[in-house]
Amino acid sequence: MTPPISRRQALVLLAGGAAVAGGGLAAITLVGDESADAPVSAAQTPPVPTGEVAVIGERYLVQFPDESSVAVLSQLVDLPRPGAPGAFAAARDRLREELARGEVVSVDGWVLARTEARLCALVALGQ
Amino acid sequence: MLVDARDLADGADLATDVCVVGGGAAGITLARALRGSGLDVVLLESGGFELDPATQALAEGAMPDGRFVNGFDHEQVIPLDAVRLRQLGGTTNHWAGYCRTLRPIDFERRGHLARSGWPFGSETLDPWYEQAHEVVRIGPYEYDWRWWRDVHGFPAPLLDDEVVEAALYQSKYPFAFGEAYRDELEAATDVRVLLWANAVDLRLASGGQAVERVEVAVLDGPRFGVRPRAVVLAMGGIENPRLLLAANQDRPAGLGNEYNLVGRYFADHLVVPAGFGVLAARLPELEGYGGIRYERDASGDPHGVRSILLLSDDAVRSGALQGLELQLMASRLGDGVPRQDEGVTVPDAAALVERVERGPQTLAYFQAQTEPVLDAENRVVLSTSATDALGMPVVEVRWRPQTADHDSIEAGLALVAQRLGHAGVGRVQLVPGGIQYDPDRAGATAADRFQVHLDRDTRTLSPDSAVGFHHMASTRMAASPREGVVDADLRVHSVANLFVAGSSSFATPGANTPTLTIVALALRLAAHLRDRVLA
Repeated sequence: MTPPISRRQALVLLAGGAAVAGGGLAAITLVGDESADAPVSAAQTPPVPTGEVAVIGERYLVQFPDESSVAVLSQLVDLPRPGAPGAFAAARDRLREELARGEVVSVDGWVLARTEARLCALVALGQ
Repeated sequence: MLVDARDLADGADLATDVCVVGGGAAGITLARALRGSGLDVVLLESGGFELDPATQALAEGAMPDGRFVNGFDHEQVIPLDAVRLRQLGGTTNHWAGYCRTLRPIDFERRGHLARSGWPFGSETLDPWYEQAHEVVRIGPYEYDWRWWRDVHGFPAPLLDDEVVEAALYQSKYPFAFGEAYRDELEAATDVRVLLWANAVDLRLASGGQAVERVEVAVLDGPRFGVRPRAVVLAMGGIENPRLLLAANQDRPAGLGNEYNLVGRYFADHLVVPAGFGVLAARLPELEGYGGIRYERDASGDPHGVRSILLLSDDAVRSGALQGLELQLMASRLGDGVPRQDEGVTVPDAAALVERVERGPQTLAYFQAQTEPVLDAENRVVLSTSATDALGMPVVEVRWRPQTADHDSIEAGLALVAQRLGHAGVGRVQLVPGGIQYDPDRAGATAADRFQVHLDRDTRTLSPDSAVGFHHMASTRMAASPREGVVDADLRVHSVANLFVAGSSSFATPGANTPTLTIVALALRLAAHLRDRVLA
């Protein structure tokens, strides 16, 4: 069974692209114990409003109610957890590849990578 | 020389080599290009130097099906007589001045697009496009952004890949042909510009193979005739078919209408507010999308260069899409965001983009202009009951925006959204229900005045749409008279000396603004008349 992805892990994975790309804050802070149950410090969750991200997730789940559980979403996302080798690169590459291949969803018109929307849904479910 | 046709004698009969009907971009270009050729030219212009209400009323007509409307407010209908201008310079008196060449793919026959393709390839127009740049007084014949970057420091585009191509417009605004070339026309000894002169009929010589006489009427004034060796209609995509259909004394269906094609395939570009984006880019990086002013030469004559996003040829072919171009207008995210009553808003998406892309953020507004499909039922016809002040049948434009055009915009913008996301540039929102703009909203910034509608029914079920007012293809060019009204030389297939200039003769419209192509075709036609037809 796929371990569940926590809200904070979902947020961290969403920031994976920026971390790999050298985004200063994320690159510095996204280290250490990032298991599902470990507390994530304020620094590890960059000061970006998360309520808005959760809104995206909520709207995604309205479209795809069958995915309205952490277990289902965690399985569908199936990314290495933060802290695992290559986790951020994998998250970044997944989003980029999905966008390139057209594996996207439209959430109120916003064209998002499928995994990106699912990570937002995990944030919503974790609130 | 400039002649006031109101002073001509009733029943006068003017002989000339070439009678050009219409003094807009095509007509003035033709007249200028024929100067010094040894040919005498009479140019008939319906109006004078300024707009005259009674003359402008001759352009009134009905749109019984779909109507042209303001893109942000579909209640605001744009009537036909507000679209075309009857004065020297024609519609260039209120055009925005955007110029770009058609692309090679626009000249190709594409299997997925009915009636696509021209009787010749893009290379045929290349030399004329270059000369057209001089006519419109824009910059050098160069549309590669790298050249503009290297020579002038033009900003690199956000994206230029195999799906979304970075393209450029050049522009000249304002540039009214009548004002720009009035002195030259006045000084010309071999061009007579007859102001206030309306062509109301074309009569064939006995035998019926060539126009012998152009019947001309002046409002509350004389009626007279012009006897030309060749006639060129250059009145735009509505008036060209109108006169051909109205000229039915010698051929009951009108001239060139043996296959019931005159007026059919009337097309316009849908120009619609298509979406918003949150971009991880600084505003100065987007400066090229707003347009940058340059000087043509030491005189300081200005022109503009502007970046757009364009679906690549490969994307159009592989996706079986129509051509699409997107203008992008950017503002600071902090300077306001569009209103949206529910769902994922710009601030929500901005939070995501900030987390995922971690760049500075700007708000982008996308305006789409799509290549129209050609539908035989979209057509210009004559009213069976109403006539104008000169006794000509009033025109009816039976037009509906094509579902395929809307679908193509959505599919194309979705592709652009994916590529921008893939490149880490940002995220894009398609707005299927349309965008309203409230200019009167007190205290709001420009961005705050946008209202997003997510309900797609509001737009897709409407017979109305915003367009570019680029009236095209209503006398379309085709190698066979069964497929088009004029041949590759713009000659009406069935009339030996009758030619049709302007965008009504475009075989396939392409996605971009038509004026540069109108001018290029007019230059080519002038050379054809000078060197071959009338040599």
